[in-house]
Amino acid sequence: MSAPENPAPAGAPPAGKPPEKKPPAPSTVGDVLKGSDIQVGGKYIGWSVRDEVRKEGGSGGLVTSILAGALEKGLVEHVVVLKKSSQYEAVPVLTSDVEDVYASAGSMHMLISNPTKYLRQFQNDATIALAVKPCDMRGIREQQKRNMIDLDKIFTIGLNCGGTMMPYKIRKVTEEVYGVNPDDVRAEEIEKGKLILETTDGEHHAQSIDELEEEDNGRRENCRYCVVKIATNADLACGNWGVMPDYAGKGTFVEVMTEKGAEFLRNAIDGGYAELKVASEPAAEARGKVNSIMLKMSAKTKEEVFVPMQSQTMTDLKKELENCIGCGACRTVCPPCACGTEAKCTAFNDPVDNYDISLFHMIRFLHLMDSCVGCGQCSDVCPADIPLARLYRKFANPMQDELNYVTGMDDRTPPFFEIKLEEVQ
Amino acid sequence: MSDIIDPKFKENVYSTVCHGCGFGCGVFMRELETQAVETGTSCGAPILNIDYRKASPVNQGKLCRFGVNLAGNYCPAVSSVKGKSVSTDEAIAKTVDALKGAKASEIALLSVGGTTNEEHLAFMKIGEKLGVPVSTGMTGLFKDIGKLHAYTGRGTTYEDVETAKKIYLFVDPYVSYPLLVRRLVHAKEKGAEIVAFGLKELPIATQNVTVEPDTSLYDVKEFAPDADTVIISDLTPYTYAKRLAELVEIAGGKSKFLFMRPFMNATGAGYLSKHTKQQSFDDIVSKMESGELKVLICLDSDLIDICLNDNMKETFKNLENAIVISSRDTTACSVADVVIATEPIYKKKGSVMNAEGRLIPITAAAGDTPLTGFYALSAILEALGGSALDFTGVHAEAVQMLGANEDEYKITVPEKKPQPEIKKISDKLPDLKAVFSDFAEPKSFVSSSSKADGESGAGAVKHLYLTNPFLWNGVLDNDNYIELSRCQVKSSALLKGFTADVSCACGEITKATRFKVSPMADGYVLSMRKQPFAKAPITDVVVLRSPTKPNEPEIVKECNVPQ
Repeated sequence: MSAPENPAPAGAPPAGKPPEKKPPAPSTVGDVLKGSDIQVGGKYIGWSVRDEVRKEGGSGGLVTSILAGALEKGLVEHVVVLKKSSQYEAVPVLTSDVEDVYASAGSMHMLISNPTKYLRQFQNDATIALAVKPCDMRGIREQQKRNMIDLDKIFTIGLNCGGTMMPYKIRKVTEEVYGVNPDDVRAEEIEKGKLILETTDGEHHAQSIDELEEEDNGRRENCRYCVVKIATNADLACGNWGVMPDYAGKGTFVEVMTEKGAEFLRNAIDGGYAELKVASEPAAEARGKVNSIMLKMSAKTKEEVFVPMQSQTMTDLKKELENCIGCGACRTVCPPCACGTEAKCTAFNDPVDNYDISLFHMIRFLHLMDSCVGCGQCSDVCPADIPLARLYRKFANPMQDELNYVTGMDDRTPPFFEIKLEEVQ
Repeated sequence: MSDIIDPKFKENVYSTVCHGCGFGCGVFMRELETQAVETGTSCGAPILNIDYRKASPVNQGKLCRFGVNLAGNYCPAVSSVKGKSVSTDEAIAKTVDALKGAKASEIALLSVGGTTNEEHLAFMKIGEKLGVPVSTGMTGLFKDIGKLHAYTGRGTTYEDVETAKKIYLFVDPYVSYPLLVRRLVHAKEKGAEIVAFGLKELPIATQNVTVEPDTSLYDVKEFAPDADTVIISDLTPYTYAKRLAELVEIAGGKSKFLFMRPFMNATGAGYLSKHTKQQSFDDIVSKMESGELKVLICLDSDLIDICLNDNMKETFKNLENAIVISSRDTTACSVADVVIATEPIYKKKGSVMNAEGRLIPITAAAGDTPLTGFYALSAILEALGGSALDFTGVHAEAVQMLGANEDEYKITVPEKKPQPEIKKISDKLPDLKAVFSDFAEPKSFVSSSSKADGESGAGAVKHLYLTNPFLWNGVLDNDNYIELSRCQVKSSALLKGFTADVSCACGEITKATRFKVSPMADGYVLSMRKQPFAKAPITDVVVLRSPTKPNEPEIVKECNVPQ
């Protein structure tokens, strides 16, 4: 979990020609930094000082080291780690044991967690550090806007994310498309538009992500049109986009987004957990370029998915929702939903009603217009496989686009909160 | 530091199976142990949360309403004797005394599949020692349909359902087995024809055919199964044997079957007990009523909750020793003479087998959780003169008996044996009226409480249960209403915003119940929650408008609603 993800974007075209004529630019400039060198806005390349963490954690184990340092030095009381039960599944677990943090090093793209709702249960009663994907952080910020999560109590390390995959599906793809025993997979990586599986015998098995996705075997649909790939909404934005060949697999690019982020990074350096150097200009540019490619691909997918939906009628919508069994899982897992048990969507919904579309869904469509973060957790858990994320975005996109409002990225007041009712003359 | 987290808290995560029905949904259960807060709920359960197990081959992380709320259904049982809390050892000793003091003919052992294969097998070993086979509750059915039960075992997988060309549905998946819905959605997307046979129209169906409970399938021209057909029905203690026999007679040998089960490990328990001579569900109840039965031990099988007759709580009192071995505090625990409390299901170790015949391992991720249930059974066996049981050995024996693959991602299809010749037996089986004594011809009685046009029989309908995980597990949900057709609503003079009174010949009345207008056959009323007026799976009732709108009499006056 703690390792950064995606050295190159999922589905991105292969990088330019190999640098035969011109040697690649270095990732870093200057010497190893002191804690006091770290500043908000700074961009660095870092790695763990511990050999075993560098080996187990992706890209040098910087994230694991920052979390371990924060816990041991008392900056936080707990860390959320992903406890794996297999290569394909894991659940968030709160720990105050640094060994649990080290044991959680390394990550897989199929490990989808929901830290926002997980954090909610602790009611801001402790200081907690965790690594998050951009959509996780967007959910956390939407909860903060609704006074349910206190950002002062948590420290977040954002991880670049080109997309995640459904665990069962990727397991099946491993067996049926790659011809590999799923239990033999040791690690996976997305590089140059390919999903590469490393098996226990050290072999690498690659498939084009584009081809996988043509058969709906790749990333979750919402990841394919996600508009935030670098978690600049967290305290630190980490990942390996921008890490040049000299540090490939050995270093993590980190951008300091907040003063708290700087403090935690200084702690990792001064406590002897991590080493950092200033990221070179070409490294920062490369990171921006990867992000830009990813966003263009998302924009294309967004158009492919949502333009046809513009002609959808209420009858179509009714059809999409007709198999709803009323389990409520979509609301339970929804990261920005802050309503708790006293929610309007459930209070106004009655199973004896015979409306064409239940008030539960109608209220949620409305409610999520200014808060949906597009994480797709609702679709993941829907027992009728209703494409809920797509439906919520159908309503949210026009308003969020019109107001240039990207949910969960900053402290901007949600549009519905800004509505002022005026007395009609 | 908070009440929620203290520095010494520990969070354990268990990979388990939802106990709501026999679908086999994988789920993570997270248990938070803190020193500051010993219990998370008033019933003494720890702080629990579910997490969605997205790598599960059965449900891929998706859960129904019961599963989503699973964390609230683990109120722990407390070991007790005659209502007084005792240690587990004392409860075990009392159980052993009760068993030693009764003849084999006075004892019944019931395990419908509410726990692991390992515990069920351990229970069977106690039965062998006593000369009393463990009953799974399904024997009555198989007694009637004889060799046809060869068709009701492991057959079709959920993935087969998704690729079927034609699906005949005899269950309401939305209510009874909700995780079937997505499999049917996928099948429909691939062009499958889905025909629903029953009383209620289902949105997923491409064709809905009204088939009343006592209609012979031989008379339903739309029921034309062939080699491309997958038939989905279910096996419950209340399955109508004649209908089941007809299904197999007509479709056996050519179509595929998927029989859903209402209890978590009903398939596993059924397989482990298949060669034993069991007492039927009805036999046990009859012997309880007559006083012939002195000792009943229920292993994670709450007879009171399962039994659709609301009188079962009273019938329990006829026993000299009603003994409940339970992982949860269920209705039967409140009236049992002895309760042996065991660890919650999510802490159990071992395996369960789901409706498609998939063996799902339950691995207590927290490591060495004491298996109190298994070792309680072992202790009883030892006290009766048997040998103590070794968990590993019993697990291996269970896996071997089930002929199953221990990898949950692979289903081992049992060796194909020649299927028995199908002889027509359905015409010799008792009809619905004989099976369910409360079933009679429509409009056969008129409730004395009826105010509206009682003489003409208005509002007389048959009540049927839409069985579901909440009903089988004795858990209340937001399902406190009845369902009727639009025409039936008119016949019962019901009005929007008003409630209904439902009464039966037995004199029981449910007053002011809410109703829902559903696309369904006239002449029936459906409910998902146990009703006092329904003493059997099918009961004649009268549904009429409640005299006043509850809690809003002034509104009734103002509205001047026509009477």
